[in-house]
Amino acid sequence: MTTHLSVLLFEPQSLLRQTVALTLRSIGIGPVYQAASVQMAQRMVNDQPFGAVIVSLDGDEVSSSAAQAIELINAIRSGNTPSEESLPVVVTTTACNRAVLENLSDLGVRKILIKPFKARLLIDAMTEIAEVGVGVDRRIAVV
Amino acid sequence: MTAAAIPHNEQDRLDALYALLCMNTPPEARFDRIVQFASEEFDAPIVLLSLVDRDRQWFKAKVGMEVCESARDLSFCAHAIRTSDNFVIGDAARDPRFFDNPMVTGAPHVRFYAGAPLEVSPGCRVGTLCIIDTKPRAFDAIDNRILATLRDLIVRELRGESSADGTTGGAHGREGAA
Repeated sequence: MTTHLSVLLFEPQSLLRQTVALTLRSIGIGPVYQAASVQMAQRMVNDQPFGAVIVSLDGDEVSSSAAQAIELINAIRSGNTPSEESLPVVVTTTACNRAVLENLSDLGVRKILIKPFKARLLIDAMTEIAEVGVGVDRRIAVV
Repeated sequence: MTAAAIPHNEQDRLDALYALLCMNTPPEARFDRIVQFASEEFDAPIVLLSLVDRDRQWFKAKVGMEVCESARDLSFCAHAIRTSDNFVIGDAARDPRFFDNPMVTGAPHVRFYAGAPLEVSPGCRVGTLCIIDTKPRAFDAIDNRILATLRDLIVRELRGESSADGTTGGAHGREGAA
């Protein structure tokens, strides 16, 4: 059974972001708050609690955006935001090396989706999270 | 072959279609990118933004189709605009309405069709966002939701409602508050 989940979706690709956000809402997962930049995501994560977060490591400037995105996850895990420290985090990225993978694993990222991927994949991932519930999962899945 | 019945509000529907000032206009990136996204999302060889005119359907955006229009009486989309729900034909060769349709028996050899109607005003469905395959296929509830979402984005564009940065909602890009 799907539960309501307040989701922050940071994704710079507008069509992918809107497709995922609107479809999640239509299947009863939500509200979904959209952020088109990591700066916007940082403001939102500082302002209000979320039940799950989807973070892209890609932005206008890939290296700095990735660092800021990881910083955002770190802030959540450190308890420096209104959200539960253990909330599920899904990461999307165009590339992922071993160092990033280990870093994300240490941060309790539940799943990494390598772009390009179908919106369906991310929707299914969030549906699974909504059904299973929240919590840090040290087993990381790279798709 | 069964041609689709004409909707009861056909004149209102056509008025709504023409009011969009979209017919016979050049391709536009804002529609092309959604159609291309749908093609990739569904691995569909043909995706159309089809607008159903009085006697024809005209394609504002298209992937995998050379022609820019076809006859309405052969059109799957003419059936799709008769309902507000997605219109899905899993295997046209086995459907009594379509098995002998020239679009099925000949090029483009339609076997699968899923069309989401474009309702631009209450009851006025001017066309569809449709995906077509030359093989039968299944289409589950999530597929239907995703197609409906992409359809909604097209309707927003047709109505001129999309936001500048693609983020909808309030000041923080809030979407879909419960």
